Amino acid sequence: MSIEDNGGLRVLAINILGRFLSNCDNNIRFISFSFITLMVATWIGQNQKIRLMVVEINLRGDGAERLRERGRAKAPE
Amino acid sequence: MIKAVLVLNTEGKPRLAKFYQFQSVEKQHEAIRNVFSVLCCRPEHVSNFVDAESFFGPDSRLVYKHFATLYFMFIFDSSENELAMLDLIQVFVETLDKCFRNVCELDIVFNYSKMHTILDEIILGGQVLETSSNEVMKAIEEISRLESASNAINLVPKSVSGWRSR
Repeated sequence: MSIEDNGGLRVLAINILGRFLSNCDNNIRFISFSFITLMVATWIGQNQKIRLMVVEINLRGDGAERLRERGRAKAPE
Repeated sequence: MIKAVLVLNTEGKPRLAKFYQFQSVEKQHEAIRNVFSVLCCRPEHVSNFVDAESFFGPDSRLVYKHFATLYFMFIFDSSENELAMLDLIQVFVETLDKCFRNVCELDIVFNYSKMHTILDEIILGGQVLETSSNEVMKAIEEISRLESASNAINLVPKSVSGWRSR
């Protein structure tokens, strides 16, 4: 998160986290969703234009709670 | 840093409780009761990560796994990764299974000193030492061989040669 780099590695990181997000394991989805919300909050503040495709996941338990805590992270255009 | 390692059964009875940060005994018992009251009513389909700030102070998270009649749980701060801790629980349980051959709760009850030895080979002072189950098994076998050497004269050359060969 603290690595200052060009957009290529960031896009790669987002793609990898998106692939983790489509995993069927609840633990892996929870970790990847936490990192994605952290990345969105960090990089949108730097006026980065990121198109983020968040697959529709069935938020249950910890995912929904964490999403409510951090506020709805919308995909920027 | 790992703050605590707990192994409870499904009735809330602690089978292993190792704390790497100092807490008084009353606080330890209270933390174990609070942890169990959270875990016992937790459904299976949610993730295995719990926020443990109310039990262990700020910057604490809990990762648990449920095997048969036991809950294995690690409490750590933000410098550790949740998925890595989940994998470390798996390493610990695999080592116990290799050591006891189809481990069950009764093995843990009657061989608690060996379980503490296995845990000390994996985690020491709150830091992860070893993540390979085979290396831990080699160390456990060496320790048990040293313990079974009843002759005190033979004990010294074995330990010296064991130390040199590492």
